[in-house]
Amino acid sequence: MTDHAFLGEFEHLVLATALRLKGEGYGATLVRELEERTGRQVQGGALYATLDRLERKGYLVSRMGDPDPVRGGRPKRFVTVTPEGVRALAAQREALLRIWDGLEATFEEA
Amino acid sequence: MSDAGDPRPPRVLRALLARVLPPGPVRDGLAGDLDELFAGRVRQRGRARADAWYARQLLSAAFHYRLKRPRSRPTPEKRPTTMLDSLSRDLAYALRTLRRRPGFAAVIVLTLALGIGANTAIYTLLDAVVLRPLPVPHPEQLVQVTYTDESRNGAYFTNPLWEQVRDRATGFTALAAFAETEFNTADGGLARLVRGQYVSGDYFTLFEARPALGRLLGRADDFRGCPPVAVLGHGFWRSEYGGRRDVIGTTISLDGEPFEIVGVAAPGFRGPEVGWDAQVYAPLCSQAVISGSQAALDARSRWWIRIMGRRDPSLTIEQLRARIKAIAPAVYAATVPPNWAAEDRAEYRGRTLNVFPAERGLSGLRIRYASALGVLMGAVALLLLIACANVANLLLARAASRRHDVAIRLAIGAGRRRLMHQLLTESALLAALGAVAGLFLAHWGTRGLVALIAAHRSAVSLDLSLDARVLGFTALITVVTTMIFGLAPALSGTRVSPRAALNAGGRGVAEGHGRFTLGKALVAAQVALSLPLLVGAGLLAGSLRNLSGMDPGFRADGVLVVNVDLRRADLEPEARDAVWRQALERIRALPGVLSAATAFRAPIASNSWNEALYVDGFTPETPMDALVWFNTIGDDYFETMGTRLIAGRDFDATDVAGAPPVAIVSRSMAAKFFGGKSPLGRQFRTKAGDAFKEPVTIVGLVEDAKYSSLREENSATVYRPMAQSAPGSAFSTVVLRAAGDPLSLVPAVRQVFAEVQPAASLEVTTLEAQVADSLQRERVLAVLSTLFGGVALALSMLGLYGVMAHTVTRRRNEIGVRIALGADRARVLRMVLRDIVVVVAAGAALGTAGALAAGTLVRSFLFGLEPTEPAIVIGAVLLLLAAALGAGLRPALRAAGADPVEALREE
Repeated sequence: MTDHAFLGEFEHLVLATALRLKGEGYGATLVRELEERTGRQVQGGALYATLDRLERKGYLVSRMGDPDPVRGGRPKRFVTVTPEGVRALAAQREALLRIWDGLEATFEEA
Repeated sequence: MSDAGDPRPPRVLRALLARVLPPGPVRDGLAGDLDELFAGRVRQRGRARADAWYARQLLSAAFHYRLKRPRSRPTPEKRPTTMLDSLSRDLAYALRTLRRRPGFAAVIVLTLALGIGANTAIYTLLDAVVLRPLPVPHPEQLVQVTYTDESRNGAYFTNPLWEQVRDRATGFTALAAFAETEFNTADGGLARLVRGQYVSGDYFTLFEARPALGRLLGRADDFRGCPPVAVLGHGFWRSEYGGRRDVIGTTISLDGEPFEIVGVAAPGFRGPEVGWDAQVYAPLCSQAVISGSQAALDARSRWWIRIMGRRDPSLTIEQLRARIKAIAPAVYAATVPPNWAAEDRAEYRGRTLNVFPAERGLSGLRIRYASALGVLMGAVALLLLIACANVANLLLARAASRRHDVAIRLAIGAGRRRLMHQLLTESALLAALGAVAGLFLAHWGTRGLVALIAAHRSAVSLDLSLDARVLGFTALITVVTTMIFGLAPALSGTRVSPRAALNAGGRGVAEGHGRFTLGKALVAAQVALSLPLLVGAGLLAGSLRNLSGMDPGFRADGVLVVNVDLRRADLEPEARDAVWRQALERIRALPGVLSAATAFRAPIASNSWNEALYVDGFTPETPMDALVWFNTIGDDYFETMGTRLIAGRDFDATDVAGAPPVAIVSRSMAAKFFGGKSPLGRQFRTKAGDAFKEPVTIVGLVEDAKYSSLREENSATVYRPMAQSAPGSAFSTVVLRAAGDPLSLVPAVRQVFAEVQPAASLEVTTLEAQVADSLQRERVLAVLSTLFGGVALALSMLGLYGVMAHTVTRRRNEIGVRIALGADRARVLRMVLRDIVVVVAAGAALGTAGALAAGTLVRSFLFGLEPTEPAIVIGAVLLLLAAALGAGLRPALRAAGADPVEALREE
C-alpha cells in the first residue's frame, strides 16, 4: 500500500470510468457511462467539480477538443487518467478487496 | 417553432448556466455536455421531463460552482470581506437552513410558485394579446386606414375603395389590403377548412416578411385576371406537408380551384391580426378565381377588406392624416354604389378617411379579451398577495421559534443588520425558487389557457415564448414578493433582546399575549383579499349559469347543423334546388332523424342578415330602430328547432314563388311594430335601393328565439319561406333533430350528399356546440375566477389553520390553568372559535369594499346579476366563515382537550 489518500466514493467511480474510456471520455460520455453502470442519475455540476478535484490531485489531465456544432458550438473536455491516477485506483482496489475478503459468502446465505 | 436539428434546452436556462459556470474549460465543456445529453433526454423521455432535468442540472452546477467552496483551496481569511462574499455566504447559509427543513421550504416554494406562476401565465397572455407590438421591423410606423374619426379594428372597405386608396394615397412607404377567409381544401364531402387570407401586392413588403422557401407574393401577382398562386404559412407547411421542400410548384386545392404554391412564409410571421394567422395566403385578385367572377372585386357595397400601411418616417401621423383626408372626396366620388338611395349616396360621398397607429396590429381576440384579461390580472395579483401573506406567516412562526438562536448571535456580537440580511437572503432564495417553479407552472398554464380560449371552430394562434418582457415581469414580481413577505419576519425576527431571550430557555419571551397578533392580522388580510375573488367568482359563475340555463327560444340539444356549399358542383339554379329537395327528403327518411329542415342559417351562427322594415303606423326613432333580423326557412323548421308557434299558421305548400309573399314573425317583432295587437294579416315592406318591394303579409306568430347571441336584447325576427326566396342558392344550412346523439348521424348525412351531389361540401357541427362556442369568454372567466377563488380560499384557510394551531400551542398553559380553575371545555372551545370569528369578521369588513369594487369591475361580463348582488356577497362571507371554522376546529378541539395536569406541571 502506498501513501495515497483514499479516493472519495464518487471520485473513485469517476476515475475508474475515465480509465475505462481510455482517454476518449468526456463529460457527456462519462455521465452516460456512470448512469448506465450505477443506475443513479449523475449531476453534471458534481461530475465537473470532481474532475477539477481529481485534476488538482494530479490523477487525471484534461484537454479541450474542437468546437462541435452538435453541442451548441462548445468543445469537449476529454480526460485521461495519469499514471499516478492509475496507481491510486489500484491501491484503492487492493484495499477494497482486502476489506471484502471472505465476506461474499454472507450474501449468498442471505 | 424551432428549426430542424437537435432540440436545445430552454434559452433562459442555457444563458443562466453560462452565467453560473466559470469561463474556460469548465463552462465550455459542461455546457456542451449538458446540451448533448439534453438532446438525448428529449428523444427518450420527452421535452417536459428533459426541461426539468436540465433545470436540476443547472441547480447542481450553481451549487457546486457558486455556493460550495472547494475544500482543498486555502481559506482566504485575510481577504477583506466584500458584499459579494457576505452575500454568497448568506446564500450558502440560507441553502443549508432550507435543506434542514425540506418540507417547510417545499410548502413555501409551492405557495409562491402558485402565485408567481398564475401571474406569469396571465401576464404572458396579456402581453401576447394586448401589449406586445407586432414582431416586424419598425412596428411604430404601421398604421391602419379607416373611414371614421375614431380608431376601430373592423374598418372594412370595398375592393373599389381599396383600389382608389391604393392609387391615390401618398406618404406611405407601403400600403396593403387583406381579407380573412376560409378555404376548403377538400374535394367534396366533409369540408376541410383552412384559415386563408387574400392579400394585396405589397402585403409582405409592408411587414418586411421573408420567405422560408420559394418566394412571397408581390405586386406582380396582384392584378385583375391574375393566375391562382398561393403562399403557405410556415406552421401549416410543417403540419400539412411535413416541411417538404418540394411543395414549391405543386398545387393546393382551394374551394376546388388548383392554386400553385410559390412559397412558404418564414416561421414567426403571423400577419397583422393578433391571435389569428393565415395558413394560406392568396392574392386579392384571385378572389375572382374562387368566386368565378369579378363581381365581388367590383362590388361597391361589399365591405370585406382592411387596409394597413407603413408611414413614411419623415412624416408625422398628423401629416399623414391630413394627406389621406385630402384624397377622401375623390376616392368616394369614384366609387358611389349605384343602387343606393339618393340620400345614402350623398352621405357616402361625404365620408372621410383616416389613419391610426397600429403598432400592435389588429385583433378581434384583443377586443373580446382585453378587459377579461385585465380582470384576471387583478385576480391573480390578489392571489399573489394572499400567497405572500401565507408565506410571511410561516416565516413569522419560524422566526418565533428561532428567537433563541438569534438571541445568541446577537449576544456574541452579530449586528442586527447582518442578521436581517441573512433572513432577507433566505426570503429572496425562496422567492427565486418559487419563481423558477412558477415559470414551469406558467408554461403549462398559458397553453392550457389558450386551449380554453380557443372555441372549437376558431383556433387561437399566439406567440407565447418566454421572452425578455415576460421574464422581466416575473423577476419584478419576485422582487416585490420578497419585499412583501420577507420584510415583516426579518424585522420582527431580529427584534430580540439577547438577555431576555436567553433567560428561561426563551419561554418568557414567547410573543406577546395581545389579542390581535401580527399573524392574525395577516390572516385577516388574507380573508379581506379572498372576498373580492370569491364574490367575483360567484358573479361570473352565476352569469354563466344564467346564460346557459336560459330558454333561448329553441332547443339546442339533439340538433345537428350541416352547412352545405354547392359552389363546386357546376349546377343551374333549378338543379341546385333539386339537390336541396332530394337531400332533405332522404335525410328525413334516415333512421334516428325526428325532423329536418333547410334554412338560411341556424341560431347563433356567425352569419347574420338584417333589414329595415316599413310598417304603416310605425315611425322608427332612429334608422337603426327599424332593423329586424331575417332568416329564410323551409318546412318543419320550427318543429326541428323546438320554437313554439303561438298563433296563425306555419308555411305550407301554398307559399310558393308567385303566390302572395308571406312571413312569420317573432313575438317581440309583433310587439314592437304592432304594439301588442295581433300581427296576423298585417303587412310590412322592405326596400331595395330607393324602391319599395312588394308588401309581405304576416301569417304566423312564433316565440322569440335568440338570433346572434344569447346576450342580445333584441331578437325581433322575420322568417320568410325558402320557396319564395331567389331560387338556386349555392349555400344552405340543413338542421335536423336526432333521436339520440346528433353526431352519430354524420356518416349517414355524408352518405346522402355523396349520393345526391358528391361535389357538395359539408361543414358539420351541433347546435349545442355552436351555442357553447358563443359563451367561450364567459366560460373562461367563470372557470378561472372559480379556480383562483378556490385557491385563495384554500391558502387563506391554510394560513388560518397555521396561526390558530400556533396560538393554541402557545396558550396551552393558560388554557390548562383555566380548565384547572373550573372553566368547562365548551367555554374554551367557544373562546377559540370566537377568536376565529373575530379574525374573519375583521377581514370580511375590510374585504367588502374590495368585493364591491370587484363587482363593478366585472359588470360588463355579468348576465342577470347585479354587481352588488347581496346574496353573492353574503354567500361569500358565509363560505369564508364556514371554511374558517372548519380550519380552526382541530386547533380548538385540541385546546379544549388540554390536560390541566400536564399544563400545570410545565408551569
